[in-house]
Amino acid sequence: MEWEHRDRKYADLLAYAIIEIPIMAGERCLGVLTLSRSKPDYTFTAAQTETGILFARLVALVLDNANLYESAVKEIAERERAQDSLQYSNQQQQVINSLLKISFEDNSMDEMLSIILDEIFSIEWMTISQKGGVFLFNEQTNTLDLRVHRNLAPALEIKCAKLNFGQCLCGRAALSREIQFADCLDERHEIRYEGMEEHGHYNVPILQGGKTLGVIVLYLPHGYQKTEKDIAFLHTVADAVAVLLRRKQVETLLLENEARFRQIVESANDVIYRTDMLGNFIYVNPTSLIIMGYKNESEVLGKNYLELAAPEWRHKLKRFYNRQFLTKQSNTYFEFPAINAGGEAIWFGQSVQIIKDGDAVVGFQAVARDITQLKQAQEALSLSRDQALEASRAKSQMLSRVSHELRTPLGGVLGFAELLQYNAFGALNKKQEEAVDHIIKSANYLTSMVNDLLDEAQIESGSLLLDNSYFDPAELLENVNSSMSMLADKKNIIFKTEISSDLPDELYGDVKRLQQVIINLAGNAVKFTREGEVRVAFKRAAPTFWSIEVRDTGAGIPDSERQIIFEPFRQINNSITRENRGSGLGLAITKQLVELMGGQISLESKVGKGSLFTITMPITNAPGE
Amino acid sequence: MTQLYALIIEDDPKLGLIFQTALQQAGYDTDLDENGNRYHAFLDARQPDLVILDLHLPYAFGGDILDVIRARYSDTVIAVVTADFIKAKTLTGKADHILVKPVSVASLLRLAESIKGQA
Repeated sequence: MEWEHRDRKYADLLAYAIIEIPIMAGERCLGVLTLSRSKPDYTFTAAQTETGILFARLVALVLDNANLYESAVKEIAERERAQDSLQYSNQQQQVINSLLKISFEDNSMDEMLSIILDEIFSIEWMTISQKGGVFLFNEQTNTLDLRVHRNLAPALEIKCAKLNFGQCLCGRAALSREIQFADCLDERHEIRYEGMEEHGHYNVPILQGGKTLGVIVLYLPHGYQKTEKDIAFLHTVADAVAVLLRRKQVETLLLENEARFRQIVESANDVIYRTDMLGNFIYVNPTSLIIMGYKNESEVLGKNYLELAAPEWRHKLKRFYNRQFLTKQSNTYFEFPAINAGGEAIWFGQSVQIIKDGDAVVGFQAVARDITQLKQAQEALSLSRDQALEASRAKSQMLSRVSHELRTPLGGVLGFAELLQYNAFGALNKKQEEAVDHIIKSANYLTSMVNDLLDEAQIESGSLLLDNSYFDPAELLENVNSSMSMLADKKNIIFKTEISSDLPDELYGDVKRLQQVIINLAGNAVKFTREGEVRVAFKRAAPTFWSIEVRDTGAGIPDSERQIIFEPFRQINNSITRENRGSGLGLAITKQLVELMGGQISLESKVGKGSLFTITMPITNAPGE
Repeated sequence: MTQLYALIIEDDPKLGLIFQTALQQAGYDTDLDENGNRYHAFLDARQPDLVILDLHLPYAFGGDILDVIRARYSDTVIAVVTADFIKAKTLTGKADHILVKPVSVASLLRLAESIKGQA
């Protein structure tokens, strides 16, 4: 109050006497009690002044009390507000805590949603009914599916089982991605049923990134007005739920994957196991137990893999897998016998992968297969192959010995017959000469048979060696000509030879064997040709190949016989007649010799027209040239 | 012309007889060692122009005899007679001729004549 101006203030009043009494509360002046008289010539008496002072004191008392009350009221209001917001944030904190806790629990998706719903219903400060549910977006059907609910009318349970985006309040929340609020059944509430009571809604979308994962629907009493506090809280809850859902979905996916892999591993026919770094079993699939004859995995887990291996193989296995461990080779394959619970050996072929944690090897993972039968079959096969080889060797040796043993007496027969022919033991008469002639021919024939048998034996046993050198092909052809033309003349068959001019003057090879091969083919040709001609031609088949053609106008060889004629001891019809007698080895030896020399033999033939044998030989130089 | 001399080392008596007869026909003097234990004496007595040598002998291996003769008489023609074609191959370069059994008299006579021509 501005005391300096009090005169002016009072001057407006018709006051003849004024008394001013300060209203004091302790040291503080709360105001001034002013008393004035409007009639002239009256003064205040002492008693009146006393009364004024008393009154001022009373006023001071009253005013002080009033102030006190006001501030008390204010304080109470403030305290209430503080408590309220504390409770609000406490509850909010509690709900969020509970929701977070859910994520650590091992619940199914629906169990989790149920708990979330109960948590929301537990909030006391929000006036919501204990009614509502949670929808989740179904990617397959593109709908919102009602997953859990509390106290929904049975009719709604069916009608709201699947909602489209934009349908009813929940669909709108999902589509608009904003909380839908209603205080009554308005036109947005499309889904209704008979006897539906008035109510309001909070429909809260559960959002993540750009996606709507679902909608939480809460019932409100009719006429309930939304508050910012509710909305803020519901956003927080929806965010928390979104995190939970996402996490659950990933977890479910992981679990599904794990279950799928586990199922594959457990139902696999192969042995699948894991060991730690030291090779001690930490997982074995059921097939492992069955194959190894164990009833329970506890019989195997913790054991070292070497304990199950056949003792004589442990050293090898250890060396093999130590090496894999040290070189960090990602995958290996090894075959070894293990000993099952019954003490029997089981062969395994196993792939082992190293399990790494960063750069360090922390264990092994193995997929093994029971290959016992395979091994047995292999062993049987290898045994029978050994036996066959042994038999073949024995046969070759026997043939070799037989031919050797035949040669000495043949030498006697041939030698004495020749001596007789040379009249070494006196002159022979005509009949004796003829007889000696027959003996010599027969002995020579027998000699050629023995030679064939020995060749075949040597080829089969792989002991036939080629005697390669440079030779003149023209000279070779001339030798063939001189040995064949007499034979052909006797049968009245034309025998012709020709040589291409582009053939090299010198070729490298075993000329004796080549001659043997050509004479064999030409001899056959002459033998099986009754009329016409036999031609032997040397040609340049390609820049690095030359060919020997033996063509006849004989009986020809049927298609069905073409394969077998090159097999040992085979002749067409297998018949032995005067005409085709022989060891039956000629063509087999020919083919084998040709192949031994690096060449190939082929046959073209037409029954009744004749045959053409073609030998193709590479043109080579002596090694080192 | 001096008389040609052939030494035959062959354990089969029939073949021995054939070789001897054939070479005698060709005009050679001949001696026969049937067991491979007498050839030293024959070699001491006279240098052969031709040796017919069997590889399989009861008391010696033909290959060793070949080395002995070759060391003693470098210009004697040595013809190895064998049924063992593979073993004969190992003697290529040491023996002058390799005759695979059965050895025909004709081929023996050709060989005898060829030496006669050179002598």
